[in-house]
Amino acid sequence: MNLSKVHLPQLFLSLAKFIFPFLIWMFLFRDFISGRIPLNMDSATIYSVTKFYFNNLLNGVVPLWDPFVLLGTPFYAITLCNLFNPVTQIIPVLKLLGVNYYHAFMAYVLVYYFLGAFGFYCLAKVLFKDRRAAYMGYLMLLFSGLGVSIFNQVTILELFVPAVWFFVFLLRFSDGYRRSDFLGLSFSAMTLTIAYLPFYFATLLLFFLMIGALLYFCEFKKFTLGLLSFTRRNIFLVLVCLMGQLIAFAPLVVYKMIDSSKDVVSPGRHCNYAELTDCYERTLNEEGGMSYKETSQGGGLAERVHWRGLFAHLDKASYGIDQFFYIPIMAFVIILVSIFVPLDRKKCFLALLAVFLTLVGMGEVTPVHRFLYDHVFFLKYFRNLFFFESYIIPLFILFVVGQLKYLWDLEITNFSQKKGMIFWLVVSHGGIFIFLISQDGIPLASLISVAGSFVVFAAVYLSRAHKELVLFLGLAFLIVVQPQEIFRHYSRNANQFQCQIPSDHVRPQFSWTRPTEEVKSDCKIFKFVHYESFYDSMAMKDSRGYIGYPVSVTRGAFLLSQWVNEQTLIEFTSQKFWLYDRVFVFNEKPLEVRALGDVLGGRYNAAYINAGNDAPAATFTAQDWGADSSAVVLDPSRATVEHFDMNHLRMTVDVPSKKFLVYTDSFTKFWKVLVNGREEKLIRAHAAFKGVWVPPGKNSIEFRYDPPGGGWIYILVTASLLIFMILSLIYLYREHNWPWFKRRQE
Amino acid sequence: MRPMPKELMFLFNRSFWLYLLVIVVFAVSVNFKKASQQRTHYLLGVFYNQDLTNYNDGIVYFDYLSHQRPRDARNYFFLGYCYLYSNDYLKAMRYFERALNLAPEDELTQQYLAYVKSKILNDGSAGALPAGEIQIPIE
Repeated sequence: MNLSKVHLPQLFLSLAKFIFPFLIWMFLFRDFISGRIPLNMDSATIYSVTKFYFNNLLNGVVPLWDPFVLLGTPFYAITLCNLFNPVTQIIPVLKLLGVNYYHAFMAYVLVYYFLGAFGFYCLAKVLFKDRRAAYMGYLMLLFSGLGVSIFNQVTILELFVPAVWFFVFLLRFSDGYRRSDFLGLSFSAMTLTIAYLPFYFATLLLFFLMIGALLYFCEFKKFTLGLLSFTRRNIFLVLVCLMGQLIAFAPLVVYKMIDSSKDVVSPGRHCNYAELTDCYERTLNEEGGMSYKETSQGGGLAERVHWRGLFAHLDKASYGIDQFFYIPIMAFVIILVSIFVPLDRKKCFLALLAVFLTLVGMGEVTPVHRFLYDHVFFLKYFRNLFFFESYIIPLFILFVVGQLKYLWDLEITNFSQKKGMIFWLVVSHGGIFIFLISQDGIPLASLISVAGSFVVFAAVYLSRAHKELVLFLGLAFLIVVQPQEIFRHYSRNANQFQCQIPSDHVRPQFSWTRPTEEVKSDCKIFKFVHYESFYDSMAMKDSRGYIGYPVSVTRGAFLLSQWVNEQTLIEFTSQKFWLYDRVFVFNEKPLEVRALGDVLGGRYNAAYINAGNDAPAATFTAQDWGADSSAVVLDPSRATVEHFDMNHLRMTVDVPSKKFLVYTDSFTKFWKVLVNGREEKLIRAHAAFKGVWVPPGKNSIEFRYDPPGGGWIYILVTASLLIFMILSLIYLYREHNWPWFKRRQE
Repeated sequence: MRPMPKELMFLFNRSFWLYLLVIVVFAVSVNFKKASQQRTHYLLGVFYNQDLTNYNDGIVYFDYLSHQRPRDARNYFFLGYCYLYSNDYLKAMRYFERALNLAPEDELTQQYLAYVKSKILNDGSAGALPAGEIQIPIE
């Protein structure tokens, strides 16, 4: 890039126009950004996952297993937390520059949100060809509830940002069939695939195509032909993009492969409306997806959004709710003022899309979701229907932008038109004002916004002087004024959540024991996530052997927690290694299940191994596995850990005679064991743990977690996304005439 | 086919009709009773999550209930109760009065109303709140 060709004042002005409101927004949320009020709910969980991932990555390991919590569990969340997005890579870069993980994470989400809001501006501009109205849309979106979701439900942001850019590039591509737009489209689609479950976007795309084909049939046909022609001309590029898309699907495929290994109960937390054992059976029997009740009850928009709630008690929004469906009141004022505005296909399209998504998001209170659940396979694979607000709010605001564009362009020339307009402004604003004051809990700023809106519109339509300036500054001010009060209250309400969460870099140390005492925290964010598994995972220290509800826990650990007394399990697993002289074949039958509890509690000298293992086993009578001798804890003085990371443990063990070694970290079939450099059969011990026979003397023992794809698959996905982003930017620069670059003109 | 007259076109090609259509679609397809049950359950859950001590959540919950069942004095009483503990005495008084209009014999409401009034007047007559713990209903 030749910097001498950059038109600096224009570039500066263009950036300032977007950055200044964003700085105001940041100021309103300064307590959250600084970390005084910590992230909450799913944002806290995603931060925990992100910290765990990048901390280990900077230690030189792609973590695939979390040995610290839930008696060891696959690091499933690697697939679902937007970790491979190029923007997310800000985190390790900032960490290397000395920023702690919390603030690095915050920088990532802020940049991401800004990109999303800017993308929304681009979308509105491409759609309505009006910079002024698009900018107002940018402000409305920036100060909507979407931004609040950063702090307690960042998934909403992860769904929204790539979707916005997807449609920006789609519209631009349909306009000129340029390679840069096609690359951008592919990059957005890849980002959508790795961000979270892609089914929300798939639902949006489904409606987009259906309503689009209905309202834009001819254009739809033309686009298809154009796409085919583009493919013929750029077959190599299209194949590369398809390859990129396949790579982006790899983490989900790996997730599914681990899931279908029947070794893991995942994710059992969806079983809100089922008995624990039913949930377990269903999850492991791979019936596929969730029951209708699970997908539709709880987590829908019907329970979370009420039309009065859009206006009243906004100052009472709680940080203890992972969603705040909020749109600045000026959007509603514009909707009402523009009631007489002519319709066009674009606006009908946007309205229908928003309505259908809302109906789906409302779950079982409308027949739409049930119909889709019965007929579209992927509707069985997600719940939390309120996530659709990441599309509904932008669609609503886009519609408002369309209405505003007309109001902006409206020329009122004669006296009778002026009279009519003033009459309507009085009626519409008066109507909203009366409605607001009749409600309890209306913020003062809402009333000020409505009154101000009347003044601005009346001034604009009564006098032609400085129409552009008055409307631009007036609307911009009024859009921002109500959120100032709402977000100030939001921060104040969140004050009770103050506490610290781990943000320092950790070099994990292996410990021979686990704690037995429960650790609790008074911090309110732990009302929503289990303190021990959340905090210990971030801090990378061992948690006690407690399972609780089956959230992505291994099958064996979950079963054991059901069969054995909770305290027995905690005390038994407080030691990482046990040595036995013999093993006992175990069948999952009631009598033997009870015996397993006795064996662990009494610490008898016999390890249970599962039937079906072809390991050497003897059959004993009940007296045999009685109290003739006790199992022995591996003496740390006779063992040395040579290497420890998330996926790997190598140690030297000295045993006096042949012993069966049990490592109380969960078993799955993707674990391997090497004894003195030779791979041996890893045996499921005590229904849940790893066991191996060790010959007498000094032995090197190595446990390795080796799931499909290994760590390289994630490196490949990250690298692919980075390459696609860079390629897209290069092509965009080459093919487009950006206003602040004079390259083309010269 | 003859094109639609300009006047009719002008009338029908207005956003008003789209707004109306949206309202009708929602009115027809939403089961409002079920939606109301879900919302009540959800708001109660939010209130309960904070051990029934975050009175902001309580206000939102009882305000919703009072709109769903406007003849139920209990909802107004608890709305007043939540406002009282949020130190908003004027609103607390308003809702205790509403509760009393619907259930004039209720002694507890009378006592709370008297307490709130004295708080507003700040005449030093505000004694202790009525003895006994108020159980916030969670059914």
